[in-house]
Amino acid sequence: MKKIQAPRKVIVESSVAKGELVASLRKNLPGASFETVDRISDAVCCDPEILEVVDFRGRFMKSCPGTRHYHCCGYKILHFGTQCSIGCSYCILQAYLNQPNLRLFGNLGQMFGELSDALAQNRDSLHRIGTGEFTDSLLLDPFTELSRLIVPHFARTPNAVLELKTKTNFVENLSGLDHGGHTIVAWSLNSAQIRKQEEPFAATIAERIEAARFCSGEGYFLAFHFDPIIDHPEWKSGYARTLDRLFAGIDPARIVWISLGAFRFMPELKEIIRLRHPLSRIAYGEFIRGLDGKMRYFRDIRAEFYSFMVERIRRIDPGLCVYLCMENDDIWKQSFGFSPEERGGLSHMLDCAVKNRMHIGPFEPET
Amino acid sequence: MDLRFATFSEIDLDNRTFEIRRFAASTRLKDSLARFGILDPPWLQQKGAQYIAVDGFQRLGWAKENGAKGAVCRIFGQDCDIREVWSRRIEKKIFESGINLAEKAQIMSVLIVAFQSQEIPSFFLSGMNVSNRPDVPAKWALLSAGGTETLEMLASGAIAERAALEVAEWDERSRDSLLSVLKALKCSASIQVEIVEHIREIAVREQKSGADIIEAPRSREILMSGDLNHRQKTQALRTLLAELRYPRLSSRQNQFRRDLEALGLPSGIRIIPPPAFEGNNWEMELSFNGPEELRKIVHSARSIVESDRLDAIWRWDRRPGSPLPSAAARQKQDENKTTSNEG
Ligand code: SF4
Repeated sequence: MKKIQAPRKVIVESSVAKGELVASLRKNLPGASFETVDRISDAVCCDPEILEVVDFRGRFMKSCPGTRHYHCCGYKILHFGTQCSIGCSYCILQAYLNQPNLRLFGNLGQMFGELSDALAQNRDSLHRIGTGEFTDSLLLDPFTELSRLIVPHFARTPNAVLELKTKTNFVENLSGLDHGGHTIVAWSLNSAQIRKQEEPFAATIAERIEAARFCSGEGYFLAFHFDPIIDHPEWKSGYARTLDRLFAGIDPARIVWISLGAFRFMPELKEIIRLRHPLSRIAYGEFIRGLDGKMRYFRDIRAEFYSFMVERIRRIDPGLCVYLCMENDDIWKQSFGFSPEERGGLSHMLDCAVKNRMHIGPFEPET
Repeated sequence: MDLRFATFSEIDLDNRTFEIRRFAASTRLKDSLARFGILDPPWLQQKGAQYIAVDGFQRLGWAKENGAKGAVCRIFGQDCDIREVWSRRIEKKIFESGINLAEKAQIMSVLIVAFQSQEIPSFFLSGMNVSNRPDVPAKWALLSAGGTETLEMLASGAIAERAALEVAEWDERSRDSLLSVLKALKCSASIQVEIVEHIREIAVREQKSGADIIEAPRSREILMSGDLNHRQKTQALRTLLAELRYPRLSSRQNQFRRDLEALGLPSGIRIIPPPAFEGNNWEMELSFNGPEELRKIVHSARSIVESDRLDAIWRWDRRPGSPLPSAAARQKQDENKTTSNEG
């Protein structure tokens, strides 16, 4: 991946100007100008050269936005910033129009405080926590070095695993960290054609797999997310080829899980894609309105994607945990032959994957 | 603006700089002129030794045809800024009742040149009910540049505004071909938008032009049919476009219909799948006229509901097109069942 364009201007809220995050940014962005203001207001249009560092007043810990209609993985999100400059055509963050600039939360003390509080609850159960929901987990890591703080924090927490999800190969900062086997580094993967057309500024598939190999060599566990799976001519050979490349480069035993998620989007995103990515054809598949109000491929198409992928993965490693992101029983049964409930629920399936592959858990009930 | 009598020898009626054509015949003005003469003085602007018309082209033409030497007109001075003249001209036009889409397109194309897209005064946009989204004025200007054929179709009153804007950026052949289809179908605005969106999305996905979709044999067959009226054509075209836009969903729906027919449920029973087969909220509808009929329906449905033929409908992995177990096979199955039960 070409180095991303470093922000030229960093606007910092005064209350976080002396914090650790801003200190890292000052060190790693010597060419950028820094401006301190009392309060950063929402911008009207996106300026890719600006990075905002705010004193975040909301909740740092969030639940994965599952709905009652589709099975959710029970994942928790550590919210450390918003927006992303990789610019994938399908990215949901484009719909967050009131905060278009890259934004980080500078009050790290509060963030770690809230994280510790959350982890201290339910000590007898596993916490699966990820950071890549409202931004890419590692996109700004070369400048923030945030991974150097977060990863060791999880190493000290017996009942939690951290998942860093990225489409970059910015993994240098992960080298030599004390991760204690509690961090999973995860990549979103796609067919090479979709990578090229819809996520052209992200790392190539080869770069992602290479970065994963590097992390594996550093003792990290890995995960992969085929999400969004997109219907396109030759999709079968495209996804099969990516799977082949993945398993040729990575020992499946290091992979904790692989998730599959067919492209789905809020209806508003269609017009945004049309305006911002006029050459993209991804919004013109056979989408229907799902029970959660999002547009999803007609069920037969989703089921065909998943059955194909599950079968290919099973051939390589029948024991590897594969799950569907936000799908209903009906599709689970058609793709896997069982529903999550029959295996104790999706959360339980993922906890088992952590136990089996990472040897973390089960935990003693609190007395 | 001065009010003065200008003779036709002083007016260059061939200069149409300020003309906004209606592109649709209207007898209202002619009737009024015949009855009352010119009530509202036309507008002129001084250009050297002559005047050019700003507003009132038809009134001036009528006066000349009827042998008048000239007319009382309001005069803009030579040095009056063209933006100012246009602003007044447009404001007056908007105030007149009911500008049609062709006039709107011409006005927007003038405004975009006079003011730049972002600087168009908002009272003009709101006066014409035009969105202030940055791409909208440019779309109107494209429609205006489409030429007489496009403008005549817009002026016909048969084209919905949203549909017209949707096709503004299409290539000329596709745009005119679709506008003439919409004009012929005379369907509602929402159906027009649905048709346009489906055609656009099919075209983008298949990397074809809109015209390729409209002029494909199956569409042509519908549109040229001598047996269908415009309502039936609209419905047939919508069905065809839905099939092209959602081929797999359509074939699943057709398969489902065939499966239901093959099941042979009694006529008072309907099985209704969830919309687009998403989720598992299926419904069964019973229609009956009293307890006797209800008993009959339930009785004759029982054997079907209890047989495994019903399950085949939920066999999602069956490819669309593959049949349910045939009637003969079913009978045999049922006979075997009976035999083994007896045994
Ligand atoms: S990498 Fe992820 S967060 Fe960034 S633009 Fe792509 S989809 Fe959005």
